[in-house]
Amino acid sequence: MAKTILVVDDSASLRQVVKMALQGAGYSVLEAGDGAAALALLDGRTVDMAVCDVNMPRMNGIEFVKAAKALPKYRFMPILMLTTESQDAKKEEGKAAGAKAWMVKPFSPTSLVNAVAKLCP
Amino acid sequence: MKNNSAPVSHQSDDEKVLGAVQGPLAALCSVLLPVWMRHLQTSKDQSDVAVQGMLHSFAGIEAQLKQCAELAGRSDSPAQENVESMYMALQYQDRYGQMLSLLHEDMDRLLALVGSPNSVGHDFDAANWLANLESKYAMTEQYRDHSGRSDPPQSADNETSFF
Repeated sequence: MAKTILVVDDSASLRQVVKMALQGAGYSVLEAGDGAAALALLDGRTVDMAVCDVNMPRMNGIEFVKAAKALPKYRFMPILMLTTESQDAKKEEGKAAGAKAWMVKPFSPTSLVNAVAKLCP
Repeated sequence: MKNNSAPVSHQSDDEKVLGAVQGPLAALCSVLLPVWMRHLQTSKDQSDVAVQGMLHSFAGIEAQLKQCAELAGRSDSPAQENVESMYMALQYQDRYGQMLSLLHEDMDRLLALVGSPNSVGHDFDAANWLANLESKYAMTEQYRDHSGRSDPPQSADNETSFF
Protein backbone atom coordinates (compact mmCIF):
# COMPACT_ATOMS: atom_id res chain seq x y z
CA MET A 1 0.00 0.00 0.00
CA ALA A 2 1.31 3.43 -0.97
CA LYS A 3 2.58 5.60 1.85
CA THR A 4 0.68 8.84 2.40
CA ILE A 5 2.51 12.16 2.43
CA LEU A 6 0.85 15.38 3.57
CA VAL A 7 2.07 18.38 1.53
CA VAL A 8 1.55 21.76 3.22
CA ASP A 9 2.24 24.91 1.22
CA ASP A 10 0.28 28.11 0.55
CA SER A 11 1.46 28.12 -3.07
CA ALA A 12 -0.80 25.96 -5.22
CA SER A 13 1.86 25.67 -7.93
CA LEU A 14 4.48 24.49 -5.41
CA ARG A 15 2.06 21.92 -4.01
CA GLN A 16 1.51 20.74 -7.55
CA VAL A 17 5.26 20.31 -8.21
CA VAL A 18 5.70 18.38 -4.95
CA LYS A 19 2.63 16.28 -5.63
CA MET A 20 3.81 15.38 -9.13
CA ALA A 21 7.24 14.41 -7.85
CA LEU A 22 5.88 12.25 -5.02
CA GLN A 23 3.07 10.63 -6.99
CA GLY A 24 5.60 9.84 -9.72
CA ALA A 25 7.56 7.94 -7.08
CA GLY A 26 4.48 5.97 -5.97
CA TYR A 27 3.39 7.97 -2.92
CA SER A 28 -0.17 8.98 -2.14
CA VAL A 29 -0.47 12.74 -1.48
CA LEU A 30 -2.77 14.87 0.67
CA GLU A 31 -2.63 18.67 0.30
CA ALA A 32 -3.20 21.60 2.65
CA GLY A 33 -2.75 25.35 2.06
CA ASP A 34 -1.45 26.23 5.53
CA GLY A 35 -0.68 24.76 8.94
CA ALA A 36 -4.21 25.16 10.27
CA ALA A 37 -5.71 23.38 7.26
CA ALA A 38 -3.07 20.65 7.61
CA LEU A 39 -3.94 20.07 11.27
CA ALA A 40 -7.63 19.87 10.39
CA LEU A 41 -6.79 17.41 7.61
CA LEU A 42 -4.80 15.12 9.93
CA ASP A 43 -7.87 14.45 12.09
CA GLY A 44 -6.76 10.93 13.03
CA ARG A 45 -5.91 9.93 9.42
CA THR A 46 -2.96 7.70 8.77
CA VAL A 47 -0.30 10.01 7.41
CA ASP A 48 3.21 8.62 7.11
CA MET A 49 5.07 11.89 6.68
CA ALA A 50 4.58 15.63 6.08
CA VAL A 51 6.42 17.97 3.71
CA CYS A 52 5.80 21.47 4.99
CA ASP A 53 6.55 25.06 3.97
CA VAL A 54 7.59 27.56 6.67
CA ASN A 55 6.10 30.94 5.73
CA MET A 56 2.36 30.54 5.44
CA PRO A 57 -0.70 32.53 6.55
CA ARG A 58 -2.83 31.60 9.59
CA MET A 59 -0.45 28.96 10.94
CA ASN A 60 3.15 28.80 9.76
CA GLY A 61 5.20 25.66 9.29
CA ILE A 62 7.06 25.83 12.61
CA GLU A 63 3.77 26.24 14.49
CA PHE A 64 2.36 23.28 12.55
CA VAL A 65 5.30 21.06 13.50
CA LYS A 66 4.84 21.93 17.19
CA ALA A 67 1.08 21.35 17.03
CA ALA A 68 1.41 18.05 15.16
CA LYS A 69 4.10 16.78 17.54
CA ALA A 70 1.76 17.53 20.45
CA LEU A 71 -0.76 15.04 19.06
CA PRO A 72 0.07 11.47 20.25
CA LYS A 73 -0.78 9.89 16.87
CA TYR A 74 1.61 12.16 14.98
CA ARG A 75 4.35 12.49 17.58
CA PHE A 76 6.75 10.38 15.53
CA MET A 77 5.58 11.42 12.07
CA PRO A 78 8.67 12.70 10.23
CA ILE A 79 8.33 16.24 8.91
CA LEU A 80 10.53 17.69 6.19
CA MET A 81 10.55 21.49 5.95
CA LEU A 82 10.59 22.62 2.32
CA THR A 83 11.15 26.34 2.24
CA THR A 84 12.83 29.36 0.68
CA GLU A 85 14.25 30.12 4.15
CA SER A 86 17.96 29.44 4.12
CA GLN A 87 18.95 31.28 7.33
CA ASP A 88 20.58 29.07 9.93
CA ALA A 89 18.51 30.58 12.73
CA LYS A 90 15.28 29.52 11.06
CA LYS A 91 16.71 26.09 10.38
CA GLU A 92 17.56 25.73 14.08
CA GLU A 93 14.04 26.82 14.95
CA GLY A 94 12.66 24.05 12.75
CA LYS A 95 14.99 21.50 14.28
CA ALA A 96 14.02 22.57 17.81
CA ALA A 97 10.33 22.27 16.91
CA GLY A 98 10.86 18.67 15.87
CA ALA A 99 11.36 18.75 12.10
CA LYS A 100 13.56 15.96 10.74
CA ALA A 101 15.00 17.68 7.68
CA TRP A 102 15.27 21.05 5.98
CA MET A 103 15.32 21.46 2.21
CA VAL A 104 15.63 24.80 0.43
CA LYS A 105 13.50 25.67 -2.60
CA PRO A 106 13.85 25.41 -5.49
CA PHE A 107 14.36 21.68 -5.02
CA SER A 108 15.07 18.98 -7.53
CA PRO A 109 12.26 16.42 -7.60
CA THR A 110 14.85 13.64 -7.35
CA SER A 111 16.37 15.17 -4.18
CA LEU A 112 12.92 15.48 -2.64
CA VAL A 113 11.98 11.89 -3.42
CA ASN A 114 15.33 10.68 -2.03
CA ALA A 115 14.85 12.68 1.18
CA VAL A 116 11.30 11.39 1.62
CA ALA A 117 12.48 7.81 1.05
CA LYS A 118 15.19 8.30 3.67
CA LEU A 119 12.82 9.71 6.30
CA CYS A 120 9.94 7.40 5.50
CA PRO A 121 11.53 4.06 4.50
CA MET B 1 -11.19 90.14 22.75
CA LYS B 2 -8.78 87.31 22.57
CA ASN B 3 -10.23 83.87 21.70
CA ASN B 4 -8.79 81.48 24.31
CA SER B 5 -10.20 78.40 22.56
CA ALA B 6 -8.11 78.94 19.40
CA PRO B 7 -5.55 76.15 18.86
CA VAL B 8 -2.04 77.07 19.85
CA SER B 9 0.65 75.94 17.46
CA HIS B 10 3.75 74.48 19.11
CA GLN B 11 5.47 73.89 15.78
CA SER B 12 8.76 75.58 15.09
CA ASP B 13 9.32 77.27 11.73
CA ASP B 14 11.33 74.25 10.57
CA GLU B 15 8.52 71.90 11.54
CA LYS B 16 6.02 74.08 9.70
CA VAL B 17 8.15 73.93 6.53
CA LEU B 18 8.56 70.18 6.91
CA GLY B 19 4.83 69.77 7.40
CA ALA B 20 4.13 71.89 4.31
CA VAL B 21 6.33 69.55 2.25
CA GLN B 22 5.15 66.33 3.83
CA GLY B 23 1.47 67.14 3.41
CA PRO B 24 1.53 67.12 -0.42
CA LEU B 25 4.03 64.24 -0.41
CA ALA B 26 1.71 62.17 1.76
CA ALA B 27 -1.18 63.04 -0.54
CA LEU B 28 0.86 61.94 -3.56
CA CYS B 29 1.86 58.68 -1.83
CA SER B 30 -1.71 57.92 -0.86
CA VAL B 31 -2.68 58.11 -4.53
CA LEU B 32 0.38 56.39 -6.01
CA LEU B 33 0.89 53.50 -3.59
CA PRO B 34 -2.48 51.82 -4.23
CA VAL B 35 -1.75 51.95 -7.99
CA TRP B 36 1.69 50.34 -7.49
CA MET B 37 0.16 47.73 -5.21
CA ARG B 38 -2.47 46.82 -7.78
CA HIS B 39 0.24 46.43 -10.44
CA LEU B 40 2.21 44.12 -8.14
CA GLN B 41 -0.85 42.06 -7.28
CA THR B 42 -1.81 41.67 -10.95
CA SER B 43 1.74 40.60 -11.88
CA LYS B 44 1.74 38.03 -9.10
CA ASP B 45 -1.74 36.70 -9.94
CA GLN B 46 -0.96 36.43 -13.65
CA SER B 47 2.32 34.58 -13.08
CA ASP B 48 0.54 32.20 -10.64
CA VAL B 49 -2.06 31.35 -13.26
CA ALA B 50 0.57 30.98 -16.02
CA VAL B 51 2.75 28.64 -13.96
CA GLN B 52 -0.18 26.49 -12.88
CA GLY B 53 -1.25 26.20 -16.52
CA MET B 54 2.28 25.14 -17.52
CA LEU B 55 2.41 22.58 -14.72
CA HIS B 56 -0.88 21.02 -15.83
CA SER B 57 0.41 20.81 -19.40
CA PHE B 58 3.73 19.29 -18.38
CA ALA B 59 2.04 16.73 -16.15
CA GLY B 60 0.68 15.13 -19.31
CA ILE B 61 3.94 15.49 -21.22
CA GLU B 62 5.92 13.92 -18.37
CA ALA B 63 3.74 10.81 -18.40
CA GLN B 64 4.26 10.50 -22.16
CA LEU B 65 8.01 10.94 -21.77
CA LYS B 66 8.12 8.19 -19.16
CA GLN B 67 6.24 5.88 -21.53
CA CYS B 68 8.65 6.71 -24.38
CA ALA B 69 11.65 6.07 -22.10
CA GLU B 70 10.18 2.74 -20.98
CA LEU B 71 9.55 1.72 -24.61
CA ALA B 72 13.14 2.64 -25.42
CA GLY B 73 14.30 0.58 -22.45
CA ARG B 74 15.77 3.58 -20.62
CA SER B 75 15.01 4.80 -17.13
CA ASP B 76 16.92 8.08 -17.39
CA SER B 77 16.20 9.75 -20.71
CA PRO B 78 17.68 13.22 -21.42
CA ALA B 79 14.13 14.46 -21.85
CA GLN B 80 13.34 13.35 -18.29
CA GLU B 81 16.31 15.37 -17.03
CA ASN B 82 14.96 18.39 -18.89
CA VAL B 83 11.59 17.95 -17.25
CA GLU B 84 13.31 17.88 -13.86
CA SER B 85 15.14 21.11 -14.69
CA MET B 86 11.89 22.67 -15.80
CA TYR B 87 10.22 21.79 -12.49
CA MET B 88 13.06 23.52 -10.69
CA ALA B 89 12.81 26.61 -12.90
CA LEU B 90 9.07 26.88 -12.36
CA GLN B 91 9.62 27.06 -8.61
CA TYR B 92 11.26 30.47 -9.03
CA GLN B 93 7.78 31.86 -9.57
CA ASP B 94 7.08 30.99 -5.93
CA ARG B 95 10.15 32.97 -4.87
CA TYR B 96 9.10 35.97 -6.97
CA GLY B 97 5.62 35.69 -5.56
CA GLN B 98 6.96 35.87 -2.01
CA MET B 99 9.15 38.85 -2.84
CA LEU B 100 6.25 40.71 -4.46
CA SER B 101 3.95 39.93 -1.54
CA LEU B 102 6.45 41.38 0.91
CA LEU B 103 6.75 44.59 -1.13
CA HIS B 104 2.97 44.78 -1.31
CA GLU B 105 2.74 44.46 2.48
CA ASP B 106 5.36 47.15 3.03
CA MET B 107 3.62 49.53 0.64
CA ASP B 108 0.41 48.89 2.55
CA ARG B 109 2.24 49.73 5.77
CA LEU B 110 3.54 52.98 4.24
CA LEU B 111 0.10 53.82 2.92
CA ALA B 112 -1.38 53.43 6.41
CA LEU B 113 1.32 55.73 7.77
CA VAL B 114 0.95 58.51 5.21
CA GLY B 115 -2.82 58.36 5.61
CA SER B 116 -2.52 58.91 9.34
CA PRO B 117 -3.12 62.48 10.60
CA ASN B 118 -0.04 62.09 12.81
CA SER B 119 2.24 61.61 9.81
CA VAL B 120 2.63 65.33 9.01
CA GLY B 121 5.64 66.77 10.76
CA HIS B 122 6.49 63.38 12.23
CA ASP B 123 10.14 62.40 12.33
CA PHE B 124 10.16 58.99 10.63
CA ASP B 125 12.69 56.41 11.72
CA ALA B 126 13.93 55.02 8.40
CA ALA B 127 16.42 52.66 10.05
CA ASN B 128 13.66 51.14 12.17
CA TRP B 129 11.43 50.81 9.12
CA LEU B 130 14.17 49.05 7.13
CA ALA B 131 15.00 46.75 10.05
CA ASN B 132 11.34 45.74 10.23
CA LEU B 133 11.33 45.01 6.50
CA GLU B 134 14.59 43.05 6.69
CA SER B 135 13.24 40.90 9.53
CA LYS B 136 10.69 39.47 7.09
CA TYR B 137 13.19 38.28 4.49
CA ALA B 138 13.63 34.59 3.76
CA MET B 139 15.89 34.52 0.71
CA THR B 140 19.50 35.45 0.10
CA GLU B 141 18.49 37.64 -2.86
CA GLN B 142 16.36 39.77 -0.54
CA TYR B 143 19.26 40.41 1.85
CA ARG B 144 21.55 41.20 -1.09
CA ASP B 145 19.08 43.62 -2.67
CA HIS B 146 18.33 45.23 0.68
CA SER B 147 21.98 46.09 1.24
CA GLY B 148 22.49 47.13 -2.39
CA ARG B 149 25.43 44.77 -2.82
CA SER B 150 26.31 44.00 -6.41
CA ASP B 151 27.46 40.40 -5.96
CA PRO B 152 26.03 38.17 -8.67
CA PRO B 153 22.77 36.38 -7.99
CA GLN B 154 23.35 32.94 -6.52
CA SER B 155 21.37 29.90 -7.39
CA ALA B 156 19.30 28.82 -4.44
CA ASP B 157 20.89 26.42 -1.97
CA ASN B 158 19.87 23.05 -3.25
CA GLU B 159 20.77 21.16 -0.15
CA THR B 160 19.03 19.06 2.43
CA SER B 161 19.93 19.13 6.11
CA PHE B 162 18.88 16.11 8.13
CA PHE B 163 18.47 16.53 11.89
